[in-house]
Amino acid sequence: MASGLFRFSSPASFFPLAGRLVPVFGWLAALLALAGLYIGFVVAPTDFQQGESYRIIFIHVPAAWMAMFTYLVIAGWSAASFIWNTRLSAMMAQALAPTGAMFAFVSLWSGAFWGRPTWGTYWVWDARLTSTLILLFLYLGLMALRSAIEDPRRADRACAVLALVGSVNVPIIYFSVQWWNTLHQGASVSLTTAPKMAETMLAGMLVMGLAAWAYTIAASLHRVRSIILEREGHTRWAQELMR
Amino acid sequence: MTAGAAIAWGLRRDLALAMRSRAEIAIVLVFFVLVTSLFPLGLEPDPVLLAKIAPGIAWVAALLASLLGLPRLFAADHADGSLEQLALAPAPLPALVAGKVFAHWVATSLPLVLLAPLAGIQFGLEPGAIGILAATLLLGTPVLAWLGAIGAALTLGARGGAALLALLVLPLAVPVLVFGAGAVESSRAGLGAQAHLSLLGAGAILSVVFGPFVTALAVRISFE
Amino acid sequence: MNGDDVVDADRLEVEGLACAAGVRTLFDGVGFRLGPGQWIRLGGPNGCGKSTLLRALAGLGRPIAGSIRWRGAATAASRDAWHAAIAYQGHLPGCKDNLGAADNLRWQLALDGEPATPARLRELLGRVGLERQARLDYQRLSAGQRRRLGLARLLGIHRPLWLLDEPTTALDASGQALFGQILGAHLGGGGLAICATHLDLPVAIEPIRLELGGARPS
Repeated sequence: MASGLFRFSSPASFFPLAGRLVPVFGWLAALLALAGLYIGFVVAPTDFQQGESYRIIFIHVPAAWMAMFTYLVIAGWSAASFIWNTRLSAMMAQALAPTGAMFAFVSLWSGAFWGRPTWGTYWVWDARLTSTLILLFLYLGLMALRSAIEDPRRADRACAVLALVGSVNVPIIYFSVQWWNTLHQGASVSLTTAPKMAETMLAGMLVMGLAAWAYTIAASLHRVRSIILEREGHTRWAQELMR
Repeated sequence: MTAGAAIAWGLRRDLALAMRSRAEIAIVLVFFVLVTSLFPLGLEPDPVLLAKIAPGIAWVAALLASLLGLPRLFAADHADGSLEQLALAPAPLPALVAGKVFAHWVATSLPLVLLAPLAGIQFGLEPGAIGILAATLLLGTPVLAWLGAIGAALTLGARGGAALLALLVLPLAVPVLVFGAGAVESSRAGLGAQAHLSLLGAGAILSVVFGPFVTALAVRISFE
Repeated sequence: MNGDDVVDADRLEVEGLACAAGVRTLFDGVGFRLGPGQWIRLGGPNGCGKSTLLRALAGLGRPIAGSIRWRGAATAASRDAWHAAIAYQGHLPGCKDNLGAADNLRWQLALDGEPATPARLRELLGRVGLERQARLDYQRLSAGQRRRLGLARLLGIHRPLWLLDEPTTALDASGQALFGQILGAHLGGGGLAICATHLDLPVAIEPIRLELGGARPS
C-alpha cells in the first residue's frame, strides 16, 4: 500500500490525478450542498423561538467545523512533509490554507447574520465565534508567513513548523476561550444556545458538513495544481504540458 | 560543549550584551508604562471601572511590550553572522538558544514583573490583586518569551517585520492573556486564582521544555 | 594523495552535490575528494554559487542532492561530529559590534569549545598583529583588522577542515602574507581547506582547482 500511495507523491504524477479528482469532488460538493440546503431550508421545521432566521446555522456550524478540521489536516500534511520530506505534502498544506480561512470567515459572517435578527447584534463574544476568530488569525498568519519568505522550500518548512505549533495551541486556545466565556456569562446570550436539535436539523448540518468537506477537497486539489505548476514550471514534464 | 555549558554561554553573553544596550531595553519598559497610561486617557478615569479593567490592560500592555522587544533576540545575531556560528558550534543549539531566551527574559520581562505594582497603583488595584498580577506576569512571560522566540526565528530574513511577528505570536498568546488577566479578576471576585496560576505554571513548564527545540529547528530552517 | 581507505583519516568526499536558490538550480554534480594537506581553490563567476556550496558543506543550507562524507560517515547523520571538525568563515564576521576585539575572540573561542585564558588571547592577537586593538570595540576596527581577528580565531582552534569564503578580502600585503603563512602551516600539519576566492592566495602548496559553472576538479 505504501508504495502504491507513494507513487503519487511526486508533483509530476500527482498533477494529472488531482485534475481528474477535482470535478468528481466538485460535483459531489454541489449535490450534497443542494441536499443539505433543501433539508435546512425546506424540510426542517420552523423553530418555535427563533423563527426562520435560525436556519443560518446550516451554514454557520458546518463552516466552523470545516475551518477547525482543515487546520488539523494542514497540520497533518505539515507533519508528513517533515517525516517523509516530500514537497507535495507541503504543497497540499499550502493549498488548504486559503479554503480553511474562507470557512472561518464564512462562519463568522453567517454568525453575524444569525445574531442580528435573533439577538439584535451582529457580534457576540461567545466561545465558538471568538475561537473561530482566533482560528482565522492563525490561518492569516500561515498565509502571511508563506508570502513573506521568498524561497519556496524554506517557506514550506517554516509554515510547517508554524502549523504544527498552531495545531498544538488550538485546543488550548479553544479551552481558554471556553473558560473565559463561562466565567463571564452574564445574560447568557450565546449562539451556542441553538434551538433544541430536531433530528432533521442535525441531519441537515451533517450533510452540509460533508458538502463543505467535498468542496474543500475539490478547491484544494485545484489550487495545488496551480502551485505545482508555479513551483515546478521549469521542469521538463511541466514544459511538455504547457506546450 | 555540554547542554549546561551551552546554556551558560548563551545566558552570559547575552546578558553582557544587554548590559551594553540598557537604553534599548529601558525603552521597552517605558513603552509598557506608556500603554497602560493611555487607557485611562481614552476612557473615563472612574476608579471602579479602572480597577476592573486593570488586569486586562496590564496584560495586553505586557503582550505588546514583549513583542516590541523580540527583534533584539535573533535579528542582530542573524545580521552579523553570530547566529550562523551558533548553528555551527559543536554544542546543542536548543541549549544555546535557551540561554539566549533566558537572558532576554531576564532583561526585558523580569522588569515588567517589577513594574506591575506601578500599573496596579495607576489603576487603583488592591495590594492582593497587585501581587497576583505580578505572579501571573512572572509565570506567563516565559510562555510569551518562547512563543516570541519561535515567531522571531521563523521570520528571520522574511519580509513583513514587526507586524508579521505580531500576527504570528498574538493569537497563540491568547490563552496566556485569558488566564493571566482572569487570575487577577478571579482573585478580586474572591474566587481565588489557584487554578489560573496552576495553568500558567504548566504553560511555563511546557514552553521551557519544548520551546528550545522548536526554536532551534526554526533557526536552522532560516538558514536554508 | 593516496588510495588509503582508512576510515579514520581526515578525508572529505563529496559526490553529486546540487544546490538550488528558489526554483533555480545553482549547480549540480559537484564532486571531489580531499585528503590531509590538500586544499581546494573554489572559483567561478559571481553568483555561481561558491558561497552556497561552502554553506551547504558546513550544514547551513540544504543541498537538493548529493552526499557529503567526512571520515567515511555522512555529515548529515553526525552533525555534532561534523561541526567539531570544521571552521567556517563566511562573509559575515560573526562578531558583535559593541564588544571589544578581545572579548569577541573570547566568546567565539568558548563557543568553539576551546576557551582561552587572557594570556592566550593576548598571544593570539599578537600573532595577527592586533595586540594594540584588543580593547577596541569591534565596530571601530577596520575591515582588514576584522579579517585579522578572524585569523586569530582560526589559530585558536584545532579544526581539521577550514571552509573559508573570500578569506583575503580587505587584507593588506602583510595581512595576505600572514594568511598564507597560517594556511600553509595548517595544511602542513595535515589540515584540509576549501577557499572560495577570485584571487591568487599566497600559499606555497598547489590547490585543487574547482570551478563552478564549469569543469570538474583537475
